[in-house]
Amino acid sequence: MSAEDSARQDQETPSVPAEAPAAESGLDSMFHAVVDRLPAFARTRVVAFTGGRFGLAAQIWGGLLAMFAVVMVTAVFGLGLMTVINQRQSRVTQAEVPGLIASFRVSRSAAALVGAAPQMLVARSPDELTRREEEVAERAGLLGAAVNRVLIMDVFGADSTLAAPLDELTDNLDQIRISASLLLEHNQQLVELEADIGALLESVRILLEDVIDDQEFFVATGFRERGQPAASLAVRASPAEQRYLTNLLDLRADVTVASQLMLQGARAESLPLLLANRERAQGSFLRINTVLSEIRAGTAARFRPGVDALRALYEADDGVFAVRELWLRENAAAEQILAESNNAADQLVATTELLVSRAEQSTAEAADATAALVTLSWWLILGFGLAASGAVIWFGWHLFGKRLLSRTQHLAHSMRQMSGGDLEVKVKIQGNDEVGDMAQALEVFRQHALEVQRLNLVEKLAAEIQEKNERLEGTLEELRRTQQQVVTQEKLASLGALTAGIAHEIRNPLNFVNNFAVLSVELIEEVREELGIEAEDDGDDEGGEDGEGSAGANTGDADWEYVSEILGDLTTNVAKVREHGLRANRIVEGMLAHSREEAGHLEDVNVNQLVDEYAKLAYHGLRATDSNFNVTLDRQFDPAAGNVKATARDLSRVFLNIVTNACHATQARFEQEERGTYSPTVVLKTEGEDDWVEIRIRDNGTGIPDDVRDRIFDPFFTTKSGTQGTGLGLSISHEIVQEHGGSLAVDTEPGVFTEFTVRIPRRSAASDPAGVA
Amino acid sequence: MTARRASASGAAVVATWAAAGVAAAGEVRGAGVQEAGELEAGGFHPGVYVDSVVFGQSAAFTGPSHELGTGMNLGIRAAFEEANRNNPVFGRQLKLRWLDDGYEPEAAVANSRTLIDEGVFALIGAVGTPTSNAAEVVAGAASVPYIAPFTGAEFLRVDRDHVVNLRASYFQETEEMVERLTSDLDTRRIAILYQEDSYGDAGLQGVLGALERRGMELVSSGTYTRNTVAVKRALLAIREGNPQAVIIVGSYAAAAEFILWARELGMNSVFLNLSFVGSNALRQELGAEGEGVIVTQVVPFPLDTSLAVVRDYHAALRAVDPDAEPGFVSLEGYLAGRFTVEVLRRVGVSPTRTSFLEATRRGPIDLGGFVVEYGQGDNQGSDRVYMTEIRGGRFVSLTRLSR
Repeated sequence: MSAEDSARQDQETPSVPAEAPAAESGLDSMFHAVVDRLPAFARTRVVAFTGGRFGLAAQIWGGLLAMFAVVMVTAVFGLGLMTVINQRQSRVTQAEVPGLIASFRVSRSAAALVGAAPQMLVARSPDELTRREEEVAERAGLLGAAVNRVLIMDVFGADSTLAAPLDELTDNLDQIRISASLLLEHNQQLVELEADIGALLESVRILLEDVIDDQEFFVATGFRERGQPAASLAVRASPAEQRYLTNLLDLRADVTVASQLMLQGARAESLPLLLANRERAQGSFLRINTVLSEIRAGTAARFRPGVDALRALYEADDGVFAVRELWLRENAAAEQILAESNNAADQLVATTELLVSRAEQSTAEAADATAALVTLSWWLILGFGLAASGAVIWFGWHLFGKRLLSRTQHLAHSMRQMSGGDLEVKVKIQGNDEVGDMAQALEVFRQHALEVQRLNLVEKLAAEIQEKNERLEGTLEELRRTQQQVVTQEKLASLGALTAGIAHEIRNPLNFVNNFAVLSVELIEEVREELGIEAEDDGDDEGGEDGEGSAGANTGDADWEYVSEILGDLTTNVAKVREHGLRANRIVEGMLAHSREEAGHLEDVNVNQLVDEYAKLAYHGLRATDSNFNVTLDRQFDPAAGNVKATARDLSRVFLNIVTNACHATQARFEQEERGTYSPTVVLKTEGEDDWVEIRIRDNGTGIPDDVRDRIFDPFFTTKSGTQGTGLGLSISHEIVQEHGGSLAVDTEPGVFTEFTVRIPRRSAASDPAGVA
Repeated sequence: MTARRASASGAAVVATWAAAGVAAAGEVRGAGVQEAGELEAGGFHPGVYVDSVVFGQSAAFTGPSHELGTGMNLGIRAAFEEANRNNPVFGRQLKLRWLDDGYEPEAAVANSRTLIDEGVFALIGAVGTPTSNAAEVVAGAASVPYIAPFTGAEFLRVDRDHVVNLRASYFQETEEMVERLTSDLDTRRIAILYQEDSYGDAGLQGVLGALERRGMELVSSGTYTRNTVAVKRALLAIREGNPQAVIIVGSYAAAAEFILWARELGMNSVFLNLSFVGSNALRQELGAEGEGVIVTQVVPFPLDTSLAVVRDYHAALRAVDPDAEPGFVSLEGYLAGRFTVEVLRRVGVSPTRTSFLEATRRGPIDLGGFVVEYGQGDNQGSDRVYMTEIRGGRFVSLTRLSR
């Protein structure tokens, strides 16, 4: 704001300028438009709350409401998307996924069932078979349940294509179960047969071992029974014995081979193999028959039960080959059924796999759709979120930053400036709200403050003028006093000059008086001598009338005596004239010296004498002006005080001054106190030291008040009224003492005493006043 | 295929034997089943019941070696009943349940399984090397103690913590035989007859080892099939070597047949039998021809009543069967039973299979003059080998051989 503006502003009345920017009025009108459209009850409340304008409350609440609305819109939109996604997802989880799972179960159960079915065929014991059967039944149940589930759910259009293979599978399983139990039965038979074959073989072989051992021993040694003699070589080595041994060995071999073939037959894995074994076993048994028929009947009878039993196991209907053949046929049938079952199961699995793939496709589609929706939702929510954030930032910037904050800052800045004393800058007023109100109020304050500032300035100036006036008056008074003092001084100066003149004029007649007084005394002496009258003792000049009166003897009569007496009186009188003439002369001399203001010269001055003389002078001076004045001068002179090198004339003024002041003080007190009780006394005390002389002048007068005491040595300071003192006495005295290298000190107690102490060196260290003069 | 057959034939043997009507077996079986409920309730170790401990025995009670099974069975029962009668082990009756395996390994395995399944505390008194060879594995798999098998086979004495051998090994017996033969008789020509199975092989290895240590070799050898007496071809083969001594590793029937025919053929070799042969049966089979036949023993002489344990054995035997004659096999059975009783007393009131096995290794056990001692890695209680000879139809104890 320029000075010119501020000047103009200063001249304006503190009214508020009602200007508002267009944008504000736009928002305001928008606000009013909105408020006007509100229902009546809401409008009254809004108006009551906002004060009927787009103020701070309306702005903040409006901004917050707008932000809230934006956020809510975003949230509702997000929620809507979530719901859609959730619906899609739940369709997948509730329909597609369970269907998928059920289909998988069908596939898995079918595989498990087909895997378990062959286990029945290889069961080795009834317990195991029962276990396997239960297992298969359980798995069949699981498969049925799984298939039923798929059928019931009917999610993928599963139909009878599933049921048919399941039925077939179930039928086959029943058949397999029957086959398995038959096979197990045969197996057990075979196991028993094997054991029996083994046992029979062992028993026959053990028998054979002993017989063969016997026969071989017989052939070798000829011994058959112990205790019997050995047979001859012809007998033991005969073809019959040899043949018998060979037959026994053949029998052992054939029994062993037949047994082994039967055992192999029990395990034969194919019918041709079984038949081949049977064929060979038959051959063995034929040879065994031949051998048994050839060997001795007794021996043959020992083997026959075992061999017959073995043959029975070979050829009987429940023999090893018959049973094994049944087993093989049953097994082949079972395997056929198993293969059919596998086909059925494969079909079932294929069907379910088709269902599964359909389900998977459906699920995948659903999942893809959901994923796409999720992606879309993500972008949309992100977009809305960004938009909402932008809106919030815009609201924040526009409302708080631009509208409120900057204005509040400006307001605060203006307030700081004002508090700092700068009232010249005008407060900017914007908007029709509380901040605007505050700005207006501040502007009013500012203009008021400017007014107040101006008023303060006038008052201050008036006070200053008054102060100056007072000072001038004081100065004037001072001037007057100084003037008076100058006049007094002038008077004194002229009085001094007058006194000098008078003294000079008086001195000559005084000289005559004095000289003629001396002549008169001489003349009287001459008269006496002439008359022969002895002079009385006149050595005592001061003795007064008592010393005179003795007349010469020559005259002897009354006349002479009378003459003598007159002469005596005359002498006395003349002496008195002379005495007082001298005194007057001294006074005149002093007056001259004082008025001449000439620097004296240093001389030996007797202190005691000087003090005594000027104390008397002061006393008599005061007595001369006031007959009532009286004071006791108490002289306590130290004979050792002796002389000092000083200007007697100056020093005398010091003592005269101090004693005069002391007398004034006692006189003042004398006038204050009751007569009789107060005895005005001035003590004059000297004290000689080697290098110094100290003079104390103490009075028991009024004393000096503390406030005065510090100023008593100032020139022109006096407590006496206009004519009584010049205010220079003590000042000059102080100077004189200092000139002599001494010191002047004062000690006092108001109403009790005042004591001045003057210390003067015997040989003044001060510069020679004579040199100065 | 082989196992299947074997187990079936074993079962058949048991059935045969049970049908023969051995009443005692039925009783014991009944007792074991009856107390199975208490076992579960009490939470005892298998085979240990409130008032009993049940042991199982699978041995040959039929066939050529049946005297070994019955002898061991008699001795064990004598020792158990002696304890039950006089001083029950922590108030428990010791019971024995036995099954016949006919000296066939397959049956021995099946029996051992059955006994263990039915809950016996331990298997005791098995007879034979091939049977023990198979059955011990079953016991080991179930951590069941396998106490005092009637065999000296070496493989039961190595790395078999659950096997508790009482007797000296075949190696020790054959060593003693060869030692006595070479040092007492200065025999240089030694032949061997051995059974065609693991028992025979154990004896063969023992003899070969003993000979090898002396820088000797067999002069001849012969074999025969188990459970037969077809030894005569072997005899011919052995005779070829003209041996001074024939060591027979076989059963009493075959051994007797061999010795008899050898004598018939005029062989004057010394015949030496392992303890397993079944001394009394052998003596009876041989009759007068038994004179001079040597049998090594792993238990004291059963008529040597100077030993406290032999006196106890006599009394216990009479108490079980007044008609029974003292013999080496039943004495070994008695020692096995007595040993088991002593170990059970050592174990304490709650025996477990593990604590039982540990207790055997806890210092020597004196069975009345017959001391057994086990240790870490040493599952054989006795190292004693005794020499006996048939003289005048009776066994006499020998310290050295003489002609």
